[in-house]
Amino acid sequence: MRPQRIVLLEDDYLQRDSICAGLKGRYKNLSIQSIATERQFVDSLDAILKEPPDLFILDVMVRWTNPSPDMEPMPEEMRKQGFYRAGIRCEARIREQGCDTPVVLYTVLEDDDLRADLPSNSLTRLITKDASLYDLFKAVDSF
Amino acid sequence: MAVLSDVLGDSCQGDFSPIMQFLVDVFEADGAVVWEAGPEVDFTQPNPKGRLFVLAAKTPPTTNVIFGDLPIEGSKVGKCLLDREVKNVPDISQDDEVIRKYPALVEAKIKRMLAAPIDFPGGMKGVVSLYRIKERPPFSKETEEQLKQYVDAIPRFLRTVRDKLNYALIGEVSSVLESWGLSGRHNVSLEEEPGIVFAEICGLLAGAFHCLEATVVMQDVGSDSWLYRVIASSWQGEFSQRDYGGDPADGLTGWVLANGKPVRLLDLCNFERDKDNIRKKYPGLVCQVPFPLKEAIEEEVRKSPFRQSAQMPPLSFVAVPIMLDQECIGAVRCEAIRPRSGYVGPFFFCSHDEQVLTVVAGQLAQYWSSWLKRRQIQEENRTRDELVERITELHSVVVSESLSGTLRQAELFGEVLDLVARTIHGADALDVRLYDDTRNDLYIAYTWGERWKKGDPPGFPVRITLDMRFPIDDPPQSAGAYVYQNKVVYHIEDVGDRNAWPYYEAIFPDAKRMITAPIMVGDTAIGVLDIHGFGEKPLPPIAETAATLVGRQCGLYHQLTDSILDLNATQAKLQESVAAQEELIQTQSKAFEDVAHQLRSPLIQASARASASPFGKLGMPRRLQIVGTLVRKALRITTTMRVLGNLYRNERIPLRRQVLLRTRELVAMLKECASDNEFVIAPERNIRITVDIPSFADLKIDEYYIVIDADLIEQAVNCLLDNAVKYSFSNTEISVSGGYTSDHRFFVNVRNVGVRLREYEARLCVNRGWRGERAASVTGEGFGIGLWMADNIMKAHNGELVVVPTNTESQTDVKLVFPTKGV
Repeated sequence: MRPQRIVLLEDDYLQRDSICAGLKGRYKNLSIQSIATERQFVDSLDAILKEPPDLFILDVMVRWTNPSPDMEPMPEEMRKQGFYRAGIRCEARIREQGCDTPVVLYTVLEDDDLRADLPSNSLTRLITKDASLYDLFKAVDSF
Repeated sequence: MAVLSDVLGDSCQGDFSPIMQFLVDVFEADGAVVWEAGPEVDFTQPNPKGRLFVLAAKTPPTTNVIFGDLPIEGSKVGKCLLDREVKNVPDISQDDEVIRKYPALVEAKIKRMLAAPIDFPGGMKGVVSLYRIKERPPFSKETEEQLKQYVDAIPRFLRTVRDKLNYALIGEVSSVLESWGLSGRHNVSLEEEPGIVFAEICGLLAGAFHCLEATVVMQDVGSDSWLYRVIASSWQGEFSQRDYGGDPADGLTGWVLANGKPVRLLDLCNFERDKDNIRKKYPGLVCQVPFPLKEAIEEEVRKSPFRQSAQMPPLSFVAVPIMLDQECIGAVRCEAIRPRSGYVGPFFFCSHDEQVLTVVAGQLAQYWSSWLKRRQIQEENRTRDELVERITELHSVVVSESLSGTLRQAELFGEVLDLVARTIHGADALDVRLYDDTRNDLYIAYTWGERWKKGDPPGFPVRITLDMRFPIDDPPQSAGAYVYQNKVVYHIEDVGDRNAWPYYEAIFPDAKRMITAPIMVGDTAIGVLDIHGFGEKPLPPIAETAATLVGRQCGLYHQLTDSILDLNATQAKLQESVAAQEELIQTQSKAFEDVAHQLRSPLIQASARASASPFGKLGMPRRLQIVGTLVRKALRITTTMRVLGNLYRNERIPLRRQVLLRTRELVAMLKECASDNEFVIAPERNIRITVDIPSFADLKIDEYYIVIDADLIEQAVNCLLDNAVKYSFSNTEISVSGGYTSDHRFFVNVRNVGVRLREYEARLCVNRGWRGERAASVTGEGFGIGLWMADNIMKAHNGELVVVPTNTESQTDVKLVFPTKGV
C-alpha cells in the first residue's frame, strides 16, 4: 500500500512529529490527520469515516483527554476496560462502524502484554515501537 | 336351709328372683318385697326422714312390677323400719301411702301384709314385707315368729347372691387385665391400650349390674394440665360432657373426681326432691347426666313387658374414684339398671355394689399404674433414642461445619437448645449461662423459647432481662451458682418449696420447675444449661439425664468452636502469609514490567527527539541542550532501576553519591530538571516551568549541612515535575520554589494548577499504582510509581513528601521536605 491519507492517534508530541516526518518522507503526497486524545478520536470518528482514510495508526496507551478545568471524566464503562487500552477501544469503534480500513496498533507494549485484548481480524496488526520506524513502514507497505 | 342352698345355687346374674320366690313359697304369700333405706337416711336422728327403695320384689303374675320408693314417714313399712319390730297388717288398705303409691297392689286384691325389719351388712337398714291376697287368711302369729327367724338370714341370702355376681365380676375383671399382661399386645399400641382394656371392663360392669351405662373416666396423661376424660363406656351414644377439670360442681362424676369419694344415688329422678338430704352426705353435689338417661330408660320400658307399668324404674347411680397413692386418677360409674322380663331386682345400686365397684376401681388403678410405668419406660426409651438420634445428627452437622470452617458457637448452641426442647416434654424455655471470669458471674448467653420474648407476666415483681447476672457467691444464691460450683445437676421440682430447694433465683417468675446442669469441659465447668417448665406436670425423669448429657455436649462444642476459632485465626494468618507471598511475586513481576517500560519508553522518546525533523535545523546550543536532556534521561533511568531494585526488595534506599546540599548546586539541578521536563510538553498545551531562584537565596541551606544523594534527589524532583506536567491545565505555569516549614525544615515545593487533588486522595497518591478518579482520565501511560518513589527517596533522607491538597482550588503543592540536620 502507498497510503494517501492516514489518521494517527498519538499523545506524545515528540513521537507524533517523528512518525509524521518519517511517513511523509517515505510516502509522497501523504496527508496525516493527528489526534492527541481518545476523547478527540471518539468525537471526530463519524466525520473521519464519511471519507475513510487509507490507514489508521493508533497508539495504545493514550490519555482520554487533556487536563482542563471543564474536562469530562472517562466514562465508567471505559474505566472498567482499563486505562491503558485506548487504542484498542478506538480500533473496536472503527470496526463497529463497519469500516474495514487497515489499522496498525503502534505501541511500546508487546504481544504478550496485549494478547488478551488484541482484536482477531486480519485488518489490524500490532507493531511494537522501536527506535527506528522500519517495522512501521514494513507494516504499512504490506497492506 | 338345704332348700335355700339350692335356691342360692340357682341364683345367677345377681338376680334375686329365686330368693323372692323362696320367701313367697315358705310363707304361703302371694308377693314379697325387700326394701332398703335410702343412703341419705340418718338413723342417728330421733325421727329419721327419707325413703325406702325396692331392692327386690315378687308380685302376683297379674300385678305390674314395683320399681319405686316409699316415704318412711306415714307408711306401715316405714313404721316397721323405725319401730324395729314386726308389723302384721291384716288390711293394707289402712296404709294410705301404699294405696296412693301402689294402687296396682289393691287392684291385684293384695290385702294382707307381714313386715319385719332387717339389717344389711355394712349397717344399712331395710324391711322385708310379705303380701297375701284377700282370699287368703291374714298372717298368723306362727308365721310372724317364723319370719323373725328368717329376717336375719334374708340380707345374708341377698348378699350371698350378690357376692356370687361380684366375685364373678372381680374375677372377670382380673382375667381381662391379666390377659393384657405386663406388656400389652403386639398389635395394639400403648396409647390405644387403655381405651380397649377399659371398654372391656365397662362391658363387664354393664353386664354384671345390668345397667344402661358403665363408664371409666381417667386422667389425660397427654395434657399438660390435670384434666380427666371419658376413656371408655358401654354407652354407645353421644356424651354432652367428656372432659372433667376436677371441679366439684362439675356434675356427679366431677364431684367424685374432685373429692376422691364415691357417690351413690338411688334415683336421679328424685334428686330435686331429695337434694337437701342428699347434699348432707355429698356437699355441693350437682346432678348433671351427660347423656339422655331418662329417655333411654323410657325407651327400654316401652320395649319391655312392663310397658303398661305406671312406675318408671329408678335411675340409680353409683360412681367411685379410682385412687392411686392417695391421688384420684379417675372414676368408674354405673347408671340405671335396665328393666327386663322376670327380673325382680335389685333395681338400684346398693351399698354392696358400691363396695364391689370400689374393688374394681382398685384393680383399674393397679392396671393404670402398670400402664403408666410401661408408658414411662417407652417414653424414656423414645426420648433417649430421639436424643441420641438428634445428637448424632448434630454431630454430623458439627463435623461438616468444622471441616468447612463455618461452625459458629451461637448457631450450634441454638441447635442444642432446640434439640432439648423438642426431645423433653414440658421443657418450655431453655438457656445457656456462661461464666464470665472478669466478673466472676454467669451471664445469659443463649436462649430458646417464646417465653423469652413475652416479658414479665403481670403481677410478678421479678424482671426478666437478658442482662441478668448471677454471681458465683459462697454460699450460692442461685441454682446456676450452685451447679457451677458443685458440678452436679440440680432439679428443682417445685420452685415454691424453698426448704427442699434453697438455691433458686427466679429467671421466670411463673416457672414451676427447673433443671440446671453443668456445662463441663473436662473437669472444669464453663457454664450451666437451664431447662424451665411452666406446665402443671413434672418434667419426665429422663430430663435430668438428658440435661447432664447435653451439658457435656455443650462443653465439647464450646471447646470445639474455640479450637476452630484458633484454627481459623492460624489459617487466616497462613492465608495472609500466602497472599503476601503472592503479592511479592506479583510485585516482582510488576517490577520487571515497570523497569522494562521505564527503559523502553524513554529510549523511544529519546530516539524520537533525536530523529525529529527540526533537530537537524537547530543551532548548536539547542542541539547540545537536547543531547544533554537525552543523557540525563538515560542517567535517571539507571537511578530509577536502582530505586526500584531496593523498593521491590522492601529495602530502605541507600544513599550512594552523598554530598552536602548546597544552594547553588540545588538551584542548578532544579533548572536542569525544569528544562528537561518542559522540553517534552506539547507546544499546544503552552505550559511553562519556572524556578523561583530568589526563594532559595535567603534560605542559608548551606548552613544546615544536609547530606543528600544528589542522584536520588534529582530523581525525586523529576518525579514531581513529571506529575505536575501530566496533570496541569493548558496555558498554566509550574513553579519550583524553596522555603521552610513551621518547624524550620527546608523544602522544595512544586506547585501546579491542574486536575484537583482532594484531601483523601492526597493521602493515597503516594501509594504505588494509585490513580485518582479524575487523574485517570488524563493518564495515557505510566504505572503510578513517581510519587511512590519520591516518597521513599525522601524517607531515605529522613525527610518526607508532603502533598498539600486543595479542595476547592485546582492548585496543588507537592513538597520535598528535608530534615534540619543531615543523615
